[in-house]
Amino acid sequence: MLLLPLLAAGCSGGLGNQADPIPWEFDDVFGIPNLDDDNEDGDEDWGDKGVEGENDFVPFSVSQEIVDSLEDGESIRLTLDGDVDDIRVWLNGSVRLGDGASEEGEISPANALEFEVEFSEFLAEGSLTLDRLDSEGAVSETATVRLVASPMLFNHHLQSAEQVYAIEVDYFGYENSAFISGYQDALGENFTAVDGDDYNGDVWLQDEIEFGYMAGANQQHVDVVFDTIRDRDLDQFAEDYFGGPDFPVMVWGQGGRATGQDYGGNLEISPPVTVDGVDYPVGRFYYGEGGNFYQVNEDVQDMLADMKVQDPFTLDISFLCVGHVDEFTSFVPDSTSEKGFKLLIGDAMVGLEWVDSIDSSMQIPQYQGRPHQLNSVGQIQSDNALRALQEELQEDYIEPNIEILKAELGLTEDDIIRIPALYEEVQGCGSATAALIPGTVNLIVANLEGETPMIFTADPFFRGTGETQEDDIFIAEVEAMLPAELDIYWLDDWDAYHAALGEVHCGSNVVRTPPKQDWSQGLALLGEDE
Amino acid sequence: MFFTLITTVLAGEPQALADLTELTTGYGTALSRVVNDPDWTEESLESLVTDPDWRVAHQARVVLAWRADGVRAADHWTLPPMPSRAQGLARFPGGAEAYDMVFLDRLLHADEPPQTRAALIEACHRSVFDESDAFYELLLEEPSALVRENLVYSLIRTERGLEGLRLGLEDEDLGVRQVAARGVSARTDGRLLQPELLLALQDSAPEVRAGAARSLGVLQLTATASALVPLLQDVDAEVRLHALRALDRLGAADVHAPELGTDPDPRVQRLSTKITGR
Repeated sequence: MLLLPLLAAGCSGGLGNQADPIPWEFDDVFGIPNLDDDNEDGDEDWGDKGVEGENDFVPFSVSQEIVDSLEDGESIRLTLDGDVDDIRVWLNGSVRLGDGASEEGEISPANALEFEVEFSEFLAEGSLTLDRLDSEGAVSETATVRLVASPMLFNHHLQSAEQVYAIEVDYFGYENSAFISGYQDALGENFTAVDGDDYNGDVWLQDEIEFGYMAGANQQHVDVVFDTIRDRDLDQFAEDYFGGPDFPVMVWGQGGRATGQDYGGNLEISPPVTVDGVDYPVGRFYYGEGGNFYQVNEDVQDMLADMKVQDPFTLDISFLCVGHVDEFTSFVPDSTSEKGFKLLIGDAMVGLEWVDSIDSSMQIPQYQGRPHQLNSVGQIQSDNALRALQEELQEDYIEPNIEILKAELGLTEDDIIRIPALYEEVQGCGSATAALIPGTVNLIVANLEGETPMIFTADPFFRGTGETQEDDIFIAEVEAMLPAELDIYWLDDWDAYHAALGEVHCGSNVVRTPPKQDWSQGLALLGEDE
Repeated sequence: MFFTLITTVLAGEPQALADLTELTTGYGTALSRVVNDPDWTEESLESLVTDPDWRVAHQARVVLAWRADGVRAADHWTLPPMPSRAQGLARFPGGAEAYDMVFLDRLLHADEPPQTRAALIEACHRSVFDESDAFYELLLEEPSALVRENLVYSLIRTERGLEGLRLGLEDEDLGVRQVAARGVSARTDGRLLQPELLLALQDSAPEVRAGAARSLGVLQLTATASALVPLLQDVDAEVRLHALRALDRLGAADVHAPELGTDPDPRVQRLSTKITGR
């Protein structure tokens, strides 16, 4: 190792202190990788090596108290180990240790040392050893500080919503005004209607991007957009609305090689859970896969696995035409429950039982046309193929997926609400299915800070001509099942979304406040001792 | 030849409309003449929308639609499909149901790519009109497997469903055969295709074997149980699963279920365990 003086002239020894010894202890450093673009020059700030407006360094101090405790002739030796090329330790505007500098230095400070630590990438990790050296250069005390950069973390539904986005389209035969106005009326300025003309009418905003963050100590955080390799007409949305300072746009995977499973609707996160004694303080990532050709891109799988803290697991989505986990699972807040949330499942057998409980003569005119061509409840009840399909899906896919969710998230049946759902085979999609009754669990949680949590989901239109949502028996059934604290908004997504194999969640996205829970509480998940 | 026929025979003659439907070239011009021909009165056209010849009924509706609102009809003629949420699958999310005949007209006369044609079929599928005769005739001549697959699907629950499914089961494309094999289960008269389904159990494509097995079970065709048993040894897990479930639906799985208790496919294993444990 090189040995270079950190500070030369001008540093005298401290006054010394014979009173109670000052503990030679320092806090670990949890920071964020410097991947945004604070000076807006188009490059990541780490590559710029110090930029105007920089706010992604994390402070690390050797306090005045410690400095004052140094005897005449004593000094401090700092040694950086680990990912030294991915860490910089700054002092007074210069890099003193790490990338581009030495890995060791010695200092005899007169005043408190206000270092700043910078990381180049997710989970860059090192250690900074601070040796107290006596006048002979012997080590009298030593302390090692752990330096860790945040992993890439993804938002879960218990984090406060800040802003909800959806794409507004208004073409001949293709418009979503009721959907957009439903959001606007409920959320006001916390909703942004994005002009669909700019994106060729591509409404599937959930699929194009996934919001996440990186977080350091003391609530330091930077929001991140994971711009998926879906790359359809919304491809430029992330760059248009985000990017730049404090909101980098990041890509994993190879463009042009996306499967449907690489879309954001297939990449979801549970709330914080404890499983067999292991804490996941910022939730767990889960995604769907369905055999050889229905896989998330390997680079994305690797990234998710490498981040460790939201330790990913998979569900089987091979029964779904679109093939996304958001089609049959979601989480909603429930402050009255022990875990603070409920897992919602689109349950085919509950759906079938519910339909069987209804008067068979009931007319459902909305379902007469495309895409279902069903005239009455009785037609559903007497359709043996449709009934058989629900039984098969429940037995072969939904129940096994529930078992996976229970095991991986430490849930019991009490943590789950089984929402009535019916699935049907989809024209052009072989034997794969999509929601027949617009998918309720395919929903948006908009829990603005300090306000009643709002749920936005698809209007099921399970009612007669001229009847309203107040008369809708499906709405009544589901509202009775959901936590009472939720305000539920039933958006008309029929033409632009449901008939095109998606629902409310698929067509929306939410920027959320990073959670209060510190990810570093889950350091054990990195595979090393805290 | 048809063009001459229309300009000379024309008004009030149902056959003229049928011929117009079958035009392969010059359709737009010929349609325009009829739309603008005062000798084709509203009353005469209205009387033909229920004509037993689908071509006459369809063409009468088309002419009436263009007369009622030519701009709206033209919009439907040019409306592009939108990508659905599913990769590679297009849909017409909007469009007025009352103009479905224009979508069908596009299928009959416009030269559009298979993806668009498949989406048009799905869009017609919402119709209050019965397009099954038209779909069946399209199925007979359609070169694209993707489009044939959608046609068979759309025919399943229609009056021409059995015929469409029979054609689908004989199709050279496995995707079409798969949709047909599964689709038979949705018809209460599906038992009439029992011989075709038994044949499909020997299909080279596992998706078709699985679909046929499933349909036999859903339709409760108990006499076919012995034909299903060999499929329990199929190399494809999907086939074993549907064969076992079909046998269960036929009340004939109990003796066979235990041998699949250690099947490598977890779904088969679960079903076997469930049946055995009953």
